[in-house]
Amino acid sequence: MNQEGQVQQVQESLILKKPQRIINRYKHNQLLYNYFVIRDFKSAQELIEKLTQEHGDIHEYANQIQGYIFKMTGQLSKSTETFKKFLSFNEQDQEVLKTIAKNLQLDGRFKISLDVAQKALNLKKNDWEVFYTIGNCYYAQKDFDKALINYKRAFELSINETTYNRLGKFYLSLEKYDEALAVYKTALNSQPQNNELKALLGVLLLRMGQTQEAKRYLESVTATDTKSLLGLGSIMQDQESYDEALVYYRKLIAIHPTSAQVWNNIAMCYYGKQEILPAIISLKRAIYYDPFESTIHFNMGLVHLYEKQYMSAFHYFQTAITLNPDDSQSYMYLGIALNKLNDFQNACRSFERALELDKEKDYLIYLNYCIILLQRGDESSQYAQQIFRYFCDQYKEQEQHYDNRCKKEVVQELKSQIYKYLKS
Amino acid sequence: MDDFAIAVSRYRRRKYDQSIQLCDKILQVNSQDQSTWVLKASSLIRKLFLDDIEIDEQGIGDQLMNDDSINTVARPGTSLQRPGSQAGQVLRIYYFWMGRLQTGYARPVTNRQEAQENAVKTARVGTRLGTARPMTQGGRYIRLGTASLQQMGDQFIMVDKLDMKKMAAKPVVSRVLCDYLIYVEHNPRKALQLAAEATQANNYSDWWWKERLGKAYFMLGLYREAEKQFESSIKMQEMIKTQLQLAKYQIHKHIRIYLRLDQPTTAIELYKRNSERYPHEISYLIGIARVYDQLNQPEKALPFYQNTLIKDNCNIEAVASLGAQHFYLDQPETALQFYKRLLQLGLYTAEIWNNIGLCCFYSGQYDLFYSCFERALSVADEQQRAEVWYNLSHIFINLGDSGTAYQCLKISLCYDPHHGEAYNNLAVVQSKRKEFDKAKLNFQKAIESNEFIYEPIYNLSVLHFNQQDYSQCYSLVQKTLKLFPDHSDSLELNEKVLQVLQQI
Repeated sequence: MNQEGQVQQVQESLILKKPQRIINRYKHNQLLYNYFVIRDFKSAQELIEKLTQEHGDIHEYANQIQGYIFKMTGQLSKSTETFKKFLSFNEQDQEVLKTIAKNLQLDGRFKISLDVAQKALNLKKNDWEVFYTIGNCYYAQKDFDKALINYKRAFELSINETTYNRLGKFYLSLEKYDEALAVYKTALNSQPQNNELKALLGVLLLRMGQTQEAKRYLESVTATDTKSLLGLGSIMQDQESYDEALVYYRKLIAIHPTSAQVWNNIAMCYYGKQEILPAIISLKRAIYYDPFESTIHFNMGLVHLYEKQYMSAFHYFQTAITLNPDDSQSYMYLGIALNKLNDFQNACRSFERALELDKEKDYLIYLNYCIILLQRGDESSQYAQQIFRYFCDQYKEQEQHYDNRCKKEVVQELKSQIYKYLKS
Repeated sequence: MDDFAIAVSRYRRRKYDQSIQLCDKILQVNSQDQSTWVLKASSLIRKLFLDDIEIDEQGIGDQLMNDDSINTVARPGTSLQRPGSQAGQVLRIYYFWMGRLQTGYARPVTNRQEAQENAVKTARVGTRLGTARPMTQGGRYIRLGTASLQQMGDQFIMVDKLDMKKMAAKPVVSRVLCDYLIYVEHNPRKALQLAAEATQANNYSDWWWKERLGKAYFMLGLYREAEKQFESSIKMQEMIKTQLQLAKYQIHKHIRIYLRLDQPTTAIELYKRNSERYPHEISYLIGIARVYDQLNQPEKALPFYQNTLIKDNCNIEAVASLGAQHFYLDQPETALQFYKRLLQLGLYTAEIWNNIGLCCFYSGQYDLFYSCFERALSVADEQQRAEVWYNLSHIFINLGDSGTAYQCLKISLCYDPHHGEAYNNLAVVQSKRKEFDKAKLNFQKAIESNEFIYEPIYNLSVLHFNQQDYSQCYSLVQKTLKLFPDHSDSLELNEKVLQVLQQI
């Protein structure tokens, strides 16, 4: 308000002295800039109005700020109009062209945006923002190859938050993890203190299975970052130190009380600790927040299977299958539940379906199928033998892989038991 | 046997309709029969009597015109005006994008609602003008003196023609008349006149009239005046310890005033103080529980409902509320017990079957829930059907069958085309099927049909964000934040949008 008063005083003195000839148009630019920077849009707009009254519609700086204010308050088409007016002062202004291109891209008018960006590119060859905008336009039009080329150019020209985020996410969406990793690492080299980047890198490494390195990155980040909390929690969970994982998740749930994923992870921690009731309650909450997520229903089925409530387990696995029909694991557990409910035929059908869908040749499906067939008795023992042979083959191949679903000793013992049984 | 004696007997046996019929017959012969007149009035009062301590919900009109609340900005947890929007409180509605759907299910029927229905019915009393000639006979037939007290057709008493001063001088008749005015005619203005005259006639020393005066003020919406009358009545009353029952009634009313003036904490204190004095009166306990419910603190209400049930194990409201609360506390099995109890108590409504169905489903009794919903649908009216189908859609969503869920929502919308939540969920299902344009349309409809739910606005903004339509997204996020300033997902989205928009 004080500043406002000053402005008026200045104006009045202007009128009093009447230095008619030369009007200093740039006099208020600094004040306008200050208003804009502290986001006092109301005062800025009042000042702009005053300036346009004084100088007509041709005050350059006022127009520019007006355009930015429109943009920041979400009135993109108005903003574009303002900048176009601006263009009439100087058609060769590359900065303005760039801004218009960006505006158009944000407004969803990609083709026009591309044209304008091309004009800007002709004026100045090496501007990362233009490449970035062009990339965005192509990406929105699902032309991924061209988008990639442009994103790469932008990233080469300038390594900053926008470029590495965009390029990294682009690779991630195409599941090209190694490329994404390279991008983040180059970015981290140029900005070694960037916590956000470290968190991103940590989560990515975690996804690629390099737990140790991921942990190193994540722990160096402050503990309030949500991504790092989730990452660290899941590392701890994988290492079966559930209490530590729960500490991380508790912090996280305070920030995002409605996140289904976090509730799901919490539930599985409790399940790991063999505390079934809290596990079920957490899973119920997770389903409540996201009923369309098949993993949660799958987990619910697992917990109920453990609790020997086979009917409920059956229902949850069925739901998981309707939501994600290509999941062999769900079919396997559905088979187990059906067998427990004395529906041997359908259990077999479910297992056959699981084997059909299974691309990674998971040995657990064979093992479970084999056990069920043997439990049934003589009539299916021959088929069981065949399945057992398959199991032995698969297990040999996969023995070395890390697998937290089932302890190796258990599998070994079961194997030897079945072997003995089949021999006799 | 004398007709009058039979009528009295019927009145005592609570057969009010028959009693009124008989009284009509007597009055046709002798329209000046005062005792019959009193009997008929009392029968009418008893028939249409509703425990108005029970109704204290404010209509929208009341809330709009409410100029009694002084403080417009409420401190957290102390006001009933905007519960739910303050930080740290339990949020009731959760259904968002990515299918955070409402477990919304109809609030169980309580005796409160029944009383309100009654009020609606009785409000439609016709008025017709007419005159009659007084006739005099001996014996117990005393001339009333005014033609206005005569019964003509539907109209039992010509209220406009009553001379309140004269009536106030008759202690028995005036009291019956006053109750008649309040409970049957719903004419607080006339009742106020009568009560004022009567108080004057009794030298301002009759607590009963003061109480009625307060009541009339209360009905007229003059709460401060009503409060004064109740207070002075209680002062008088406490010297006459014999009238305990009525004292309680008055104290109770006193508390209601605090509730309407939006001072729930004061009301709770009053309730507590009085429930210590009269430990066996359940209406105080229920009162406290209700206030906590309205304040959105159900965990605090729980023990009070439980205490109520210890003292009165047939209290329908307590059973229903406990059922609902256990359901929301993830204990559907316990909730099921409460709803079964309601069935035992003889309630057979769509809501109860609906709730039992939900409880069965969430406690994993899949073989039972379907028939429960069938029963609910068979007894439901149109509005209830919309709710039942809406709940069924949740079940199918939980079973992963979005096709059937879609159908259920459509049926629900057939019965109630202004069901905002159903539109929202329909749109969520559609966007899961990648039918984004239809989803957008339905979100829009949801926003139009219920402007107080923020979920469709948030969902629509997410949809716009994913389609890179940032200016729409920005304005929608602003709208959401206006409705629900602490919504964490909206705050996050807001930051994202601003990040995009503010790149220079």
